[in-house]
Amino acid sequence: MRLDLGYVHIGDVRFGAKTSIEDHFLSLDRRELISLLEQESLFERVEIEIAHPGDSCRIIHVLDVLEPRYRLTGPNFPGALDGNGLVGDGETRALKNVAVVETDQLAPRSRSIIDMSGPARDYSPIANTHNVVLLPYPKPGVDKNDYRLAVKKAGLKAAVYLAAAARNIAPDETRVFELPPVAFNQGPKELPRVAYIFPIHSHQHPTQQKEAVFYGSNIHGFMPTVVHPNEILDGALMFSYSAFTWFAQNHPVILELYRRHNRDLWFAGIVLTVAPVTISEKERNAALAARLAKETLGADGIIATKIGGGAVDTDLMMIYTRAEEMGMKATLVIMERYPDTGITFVPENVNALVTPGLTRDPITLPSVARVVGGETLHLDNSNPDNTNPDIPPLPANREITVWIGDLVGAISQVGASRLTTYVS
Amino acid sequence: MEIRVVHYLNQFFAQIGGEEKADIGPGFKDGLVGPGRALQQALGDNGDVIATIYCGDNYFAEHQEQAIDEQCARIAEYKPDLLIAGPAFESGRYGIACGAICQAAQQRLGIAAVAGMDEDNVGASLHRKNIYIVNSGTSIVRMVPTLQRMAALGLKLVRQEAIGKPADEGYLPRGIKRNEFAAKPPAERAVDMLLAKLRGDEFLSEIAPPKFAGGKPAAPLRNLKSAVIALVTDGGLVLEGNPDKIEPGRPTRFTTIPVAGVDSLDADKYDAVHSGYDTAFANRDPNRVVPLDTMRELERDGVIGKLHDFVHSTGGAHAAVENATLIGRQIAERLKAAGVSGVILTST
Amino acid sequence: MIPVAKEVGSLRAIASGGIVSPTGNPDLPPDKEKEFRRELVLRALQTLQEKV
Repeated sequence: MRLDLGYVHIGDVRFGAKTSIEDHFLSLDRRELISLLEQESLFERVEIEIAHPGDSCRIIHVLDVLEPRYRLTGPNFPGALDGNGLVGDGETRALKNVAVVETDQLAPRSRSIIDMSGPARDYSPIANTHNVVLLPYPKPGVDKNDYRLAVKKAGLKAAVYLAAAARNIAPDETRVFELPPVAFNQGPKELPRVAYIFPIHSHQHPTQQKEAVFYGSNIHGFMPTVVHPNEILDGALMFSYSAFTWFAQNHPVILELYRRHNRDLWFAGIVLTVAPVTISEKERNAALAARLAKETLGADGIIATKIGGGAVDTDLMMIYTRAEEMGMKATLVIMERYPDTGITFVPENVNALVTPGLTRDPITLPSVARVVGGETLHLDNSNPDNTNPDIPPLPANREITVWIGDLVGAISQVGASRLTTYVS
Repeated sequence: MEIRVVHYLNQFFAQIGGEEKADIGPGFKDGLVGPGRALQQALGDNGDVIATIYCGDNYFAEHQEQAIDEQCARIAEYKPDLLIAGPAFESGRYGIACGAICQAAQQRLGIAAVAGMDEDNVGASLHRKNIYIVNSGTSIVRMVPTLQRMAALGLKLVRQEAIGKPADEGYLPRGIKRNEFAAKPPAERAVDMLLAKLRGDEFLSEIAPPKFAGGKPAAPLRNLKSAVIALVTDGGLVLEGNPDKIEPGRPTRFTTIPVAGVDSLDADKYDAVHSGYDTAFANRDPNRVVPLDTMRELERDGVIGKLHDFVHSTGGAHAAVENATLIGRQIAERLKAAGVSGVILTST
Repeated sequence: MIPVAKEVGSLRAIASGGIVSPTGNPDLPPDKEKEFRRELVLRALQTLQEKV
């Protein structure tokens, strides 16, 4: 199966009379997009703002981030936005240097921040894109969870709407992603076959009944399964929490395995799995995921990443152990949260860990001229570790000290960052 | 501007005497003594060794509190910008003294402090988390290069410059992780590591296994029928409204919930506060996190002697190991004092 | 989270009803859930009486 992902490079985004792209300049008809998003019955009204790289601007209460994408033959985000269908093949248009940023207007305690200038810019790609920020205000009395799902859907609508403006434009750059069916996916003997085991959710925070995570499914009871990596890149997956959907569309491990395919490795494919809540289910999923990598994908080695809280370190260690018991070599990518121990635990047999960074590492961000997405942060400026529910709200435009983990896109659990850690 | 430096030495390096003088109490001399010369050379024009304070290693070991108080008073009088202690190399008593005095000067007087000793010195394991300790190695041959490192690090601390990595500055890792920018992104490093592993090449894992000091398991419970059993949880059970303000994450304290005469945990009287799991099920029936109803039945049926009158609770999300250890110890002390002989800890 | 418990030195650990309901099982009808809880607690008390 082959996907042609055509990028149109965008140099600037401004509000204009009509939504169109000309000479790498995206003009956005604010009213048209607002009308589209205000069709959602749970919203009172929607506002849209644009933040540019270099602006003295802080975006707060970020819920999710998406790259604008438009499949020329549809469907777009099937199951979540459009009706049923499949993705990962054909031609898709993407806008480079643009992101859709959803804010959650019912999450005053959210610390997800994007600073468009200052020291934060070095950490995240999302501080360096032209960000189209959605501010959907809920009607009084709406259910928080229903509202959140509506915001995520609004983000998908906006992402498709923006990229659709590129549908008749020749891409500046096309990336081709092609892997044949597993049965024919044979490479030269000297190239090791590498598979990626990908936990997409941890049910310690169960998904909502109507929540769309994978092809529109709420993935309750999800069993490990083999899918084509293009499906992840092309809109089949929306993270429920713990990672931004941008990093599914631009999945660092999948992109890296494709990049090195037929060079120093052979990309054997990917296994999707979830982290359940009981030990016996965790063991079952870990064993089955490893088995699929070994016996279905024929992998010599696996990489696995994490999603979710500290509890999921267990699942990852199980995947590692089962994989190595089955004769494969394993390497894990696992985000660190604690300045003292890094992660929850490391069994003796686990000797290959890569860190995308430590979340609880303080960074001081300067005051800004403009805040988008809200007005205050739930933050104790003298101690970012303080999670006391009674902290008084802090004006968000001030100089603030937060965790690097609070910066959207700085450290993604699926392995995206510019960082590593050391013991000081 | 020249900074003012005080140098701490033991009786030997302060040229008072050898082991036979290890009992002498704290003393001081203006200016530098012995290795202070090398320290002054290392400081150059940047600083002045204005005084040397010393103490006998045995005296310090036997009168630690007093010695620290006296030395701090002396240091305060000199009003230095920086305290340099040692290096103590392998000498354990000397190393402990260096570490303790630096820590006290830092905490009580707000003075920048740097100690020096070998990484295996017991003083290092006691103090490396709280102060900068330059690794001197075991041999006195390294006196001069060690003092050079100590001086350089001390100057940075005084000037509030950014302190580099342990390997670069020469100090013992303090066990605090930090981020740094990497030449390659994590996904590339992961693939590199896996390919190295497949080839059988050497590679270095990026996260060292955390070490936990586990306790010795208690002896098996003898007589369950007469035992007092307590319920403890890290699931964040609290009284309705969370009056003790237990934090949903990174807990620093625990709460004590009275359950005498309570047969079952009612949903409207208790809450679960915890950022690491969805508390909806627990909120609807708190017995799902703390099995009070069952324990009360078992008490009634005579299976256990008595259910302890208090449930101790905290939240386990992202607890710092030190805080978790402290909370655990505090709860255990209370339970022991109350005659509890067995605990069921429920964990989410 | 038994593997974590064992790793930090807590040797008496038995499997719970899961992360979101350690001493419960919301999928069961209430009376069966109480039975489940009783069995689990009895097993825990048994473990206290064992040597590790």
